[in-house]
Amino acid sequence: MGAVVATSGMRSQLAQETRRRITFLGICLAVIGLVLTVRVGYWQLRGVTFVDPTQSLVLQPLRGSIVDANGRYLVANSVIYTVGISPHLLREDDREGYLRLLTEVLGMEAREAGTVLDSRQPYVQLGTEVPSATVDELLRRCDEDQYLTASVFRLDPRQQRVYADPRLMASVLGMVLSDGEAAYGIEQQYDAALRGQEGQWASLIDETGQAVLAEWGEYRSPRDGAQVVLTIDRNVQLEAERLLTEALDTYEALRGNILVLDPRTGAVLAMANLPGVNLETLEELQTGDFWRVANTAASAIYEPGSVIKPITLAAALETRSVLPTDTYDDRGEMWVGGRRVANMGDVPYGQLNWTQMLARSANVGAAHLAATMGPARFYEMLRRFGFGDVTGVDLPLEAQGLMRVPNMDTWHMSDLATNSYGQGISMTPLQVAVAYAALANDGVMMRPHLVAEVRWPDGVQRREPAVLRRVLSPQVADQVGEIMAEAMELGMENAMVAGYRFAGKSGTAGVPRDGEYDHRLATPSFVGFGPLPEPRFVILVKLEEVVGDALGLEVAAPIFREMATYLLDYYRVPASQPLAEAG
Amino acid sequence: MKINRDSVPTIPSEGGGRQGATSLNVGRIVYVASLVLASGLAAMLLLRQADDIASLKYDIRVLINRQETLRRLRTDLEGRIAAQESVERILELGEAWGYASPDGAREIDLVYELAGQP
Repeated sequence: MGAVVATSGMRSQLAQETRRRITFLGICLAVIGLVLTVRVGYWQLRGVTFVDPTQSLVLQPLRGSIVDANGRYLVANSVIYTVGISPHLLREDDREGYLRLLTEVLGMEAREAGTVLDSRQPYVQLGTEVPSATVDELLRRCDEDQYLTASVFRLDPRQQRVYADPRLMASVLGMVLSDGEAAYGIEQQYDAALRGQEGQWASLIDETGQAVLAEWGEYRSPRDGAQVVLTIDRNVQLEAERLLTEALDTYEALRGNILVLDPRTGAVLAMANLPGVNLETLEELQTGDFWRVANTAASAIYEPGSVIKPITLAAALETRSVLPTDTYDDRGEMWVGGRRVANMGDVPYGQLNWTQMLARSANVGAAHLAATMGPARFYEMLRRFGFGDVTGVDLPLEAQGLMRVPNMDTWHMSDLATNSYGQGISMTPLQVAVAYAALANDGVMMRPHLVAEVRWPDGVQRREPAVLRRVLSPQVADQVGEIMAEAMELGMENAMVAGYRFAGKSGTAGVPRDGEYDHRLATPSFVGFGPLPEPRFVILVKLEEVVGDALGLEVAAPIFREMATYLLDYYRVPASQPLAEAG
Repeated sequence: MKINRDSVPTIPSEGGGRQGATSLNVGRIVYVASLVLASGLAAMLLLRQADDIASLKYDIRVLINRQETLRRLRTDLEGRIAAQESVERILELGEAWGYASPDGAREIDLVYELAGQP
């Protein structure tokens, strides 16, 4: 009987134990279930963003490169790394190996490297601009040495702009600042194309921004930026900058520009603005260095002086105010709006035709033309030539110039005379070059442009030449070109190129300071186009604020000739005249 | 003392008990086994799919990383080409090798009119 009772008790005990275990398991499962339910409920009720693109893994696109007209790199990218190490992951036995790595590959001092390795910190930054070649060497050494592992290093790559010639056409190219924003030049104007589009890999995250599941959702690859092809030829640009640098040194000018345009298309072949900057050492720039960074050819205005006289003549011929065969009596001075207008040195030239008027750069002749036209027609023609308005060039911060017109309170009748020979009116060098390009292109003004193509990974977007408007009839454009070429042969030999005919005009403008002209300073310039009869180049040379008697004919004309000679050689333009005859 | 056999409590036959339990447990075991099998199959399918997905994701990740590496290499190569193409560097090299820029070269079109030809 005792045995029977004992067996029954054991079974009961066993059953109780089993029930306890089941209960315990049930409680555990219930707790787990409760935790899961609470978590899921928390996500549901707290409005968790499951796939949030803003919190996704962002894949950076490569910024597009900029190349010249021949496809040579002007701006490209390189990869640099921020390199860090996690010393707390290192074993004491491997310390020497890593010490050698830091000193020999990364170039750290042994003492500094030792301090880093002994710090036992989770992360220590070793460098922020480590070249990819150094990182490659670091990884190679880790691969070769069984005691070293690359996983203790953190390598964060990023791209950096690289310039083939960091001083060449800096103000045209612009720059990318350390925060990735583009400033000035082509970099700013074509930022949308160059920048590309970010890719992303969406993640499942909770509201604290923590990834619950990585790589959740759609993967979108980054779209690399487009390659921008300029119309500028870097060899022509280099020659323009070489000539300008020499001129700035020789004449101690404040600034200078050399512009070369193709009048048939409006393409800019060279745009030298000096003094410039070195794009690799921008941190050395001071606050007042704006004009070294900005593109002065398109953004800075100046009084052009006598280079405007051919425009005045063209306007008078186009409006039929005078005929090409007309002459006028130059007495050395005349009065317009109660103000005396005089030739340089008050010299009376007597009876002059238009060729002689340009050759002698007679202010009275230009004023006579403007007075004959009258304010309405004169300013209407200046507007048609694009003065007082932007040209629409594909550059940021283009200035529109300053031109007073008759319906303004500040305009005076005497402005009609002074404006006719380029005083009391301001414009950019680009506006002057574009106006001359219209004279050279049978009276048709083309929109100036610096970009020929935008090459996307999946196609090419060509920038076709665009006509702005017809400014003159072809006949008048031809007449003015011929008169200018004859004027050059009469009195501007400094600008002539043997074997070729060019049409051009010099200018020597005063420098306005506080409402007066500073007679110690001058802005000499020369603008012309050729070779006739089918001009391929418009060349503008301008030096600003030269001390002393710096005449455009003596200072800027020889630079014009050198630039023209280079262009004719470089583009293999056959001579239009026998060399012996041309002299 | 005479013992009344009927009053002696008997131990229930284990065989009978076992027989009853066996017939009940077989049905349950088959039922549970079927459930476990079905669940196992489903779980195996799910795991297989999850494995395939994870494997594919890993492959994609590797390929994307490879793509990123290649893009970095290309970028770096472009940068090196740009540095090598520097026109100032080329001119300096040219000068060092004794070359000079042409001065005053001209392109002239020469037309010969041969006697006797129309």
